[in-house]
Amino acid sequence: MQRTLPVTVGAPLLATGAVALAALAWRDRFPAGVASHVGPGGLVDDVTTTGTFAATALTIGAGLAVLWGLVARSVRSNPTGLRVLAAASVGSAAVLAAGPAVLLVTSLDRGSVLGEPAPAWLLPVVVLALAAGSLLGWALARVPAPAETRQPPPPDAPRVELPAGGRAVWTRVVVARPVLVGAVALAAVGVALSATVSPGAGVPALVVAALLAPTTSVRVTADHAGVSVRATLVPRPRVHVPLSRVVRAGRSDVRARELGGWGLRVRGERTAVLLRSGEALDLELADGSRLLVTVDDAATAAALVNTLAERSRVC
Amino acid sequence: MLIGIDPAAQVPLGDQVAAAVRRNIATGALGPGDRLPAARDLAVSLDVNVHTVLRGYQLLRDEGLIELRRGRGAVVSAAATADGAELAEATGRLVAAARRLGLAEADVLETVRLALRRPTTAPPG
Repeated sequence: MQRTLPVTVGAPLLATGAVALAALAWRDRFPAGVASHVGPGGLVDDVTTTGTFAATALTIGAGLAVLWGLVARSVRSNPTGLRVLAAASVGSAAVLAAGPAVLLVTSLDRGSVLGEPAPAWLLPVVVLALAAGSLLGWALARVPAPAETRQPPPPDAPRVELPAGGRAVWTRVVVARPVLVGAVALAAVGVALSATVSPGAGVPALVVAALLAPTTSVRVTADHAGVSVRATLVPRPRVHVPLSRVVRAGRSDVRARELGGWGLRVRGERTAVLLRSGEALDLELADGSRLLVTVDDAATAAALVNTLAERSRVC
Repeated sequence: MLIGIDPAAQVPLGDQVAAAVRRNIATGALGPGDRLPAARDLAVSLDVNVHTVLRGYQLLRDEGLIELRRGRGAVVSAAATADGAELAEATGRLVAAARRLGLAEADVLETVRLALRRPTTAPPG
């Protein structure tokens, strides 16, 4: 946690600072100004001076640093939340560095910039930067070893019957129907555009559909290793909580609106994987935080987690 | 779906996996079209060999309860019903008992035939 906050707040400052520095260092090499915006057709449609470009970058960086700092304050009791925040911060900082860097390189030593096409690799570079930056932030935000408990779950917590030496697993798939419908519809639009307008016209819709696809369903598994949540289509990323961190498992009802929407939500001490509203597996963790996962038959899952947790602490 | 096995029991582990899946179909926790976990993942969760899980899945496929497709994994078949799962589970218990007692196939079939012809006296347990 000692490193997470500096990483989260520092990343946008570092990224935009580097951009501003590069712009100022090359200030004599932009005879036609610096491209500052690219229109939907891939053409540069706005140009600014080097000074404005650098100042804008620094302003955005400072604003983001303050914003991330405030959000970090509100989730400071939640290690997972801080880690997600660091990933988001470094990911967006990488985009803020990569995008403007491409614009700077494009404008370098060019007599005219306005109306010229931006490099075709602008979008791939930005997407790559987002992915790499998010991973880097996640890796940098090494949180201290999470708190563990040696106490068995309270006696009133539900259990399942399991013979001594018996092994058990509970697993179930949750589908986010609105997202699934959206992804399929987008893919259909993409195919239709490609077929009727031009082969390339449907690509953006298809790319978004492909990115949405892994988020349409997740598999929740509870076994001797703990509770894990991962997309059914790809094994990583996943959310994993070992049994040793679980104080008590239960079932509760969550409203997506309370937690601010669907997806991986962090609100105060609660982290939630929400693919819909309703029944959720509710894990109380040793560090005081809670993990919620919306899934059917959560009561059975909770009972198994309590049973396995108790067993792992007895021996 | 909850899958529990007991390594101390006499029943082979693969049969136990199959029996657990059948129970889930019988109780409605698993329905047609539902995807079973990948055999590899289930093997890790239960701390057994992947071939043990696959043997269980093959039993279920032979009973028509699931479909195994290369690359798509195991899916509960459209024809799988709670009744079918219950019958398959009872049959599994009968076969296990017959093997334990060392009975010949013809003797087991004859016993079943006789039991079927007998008028119903008590509702099945």
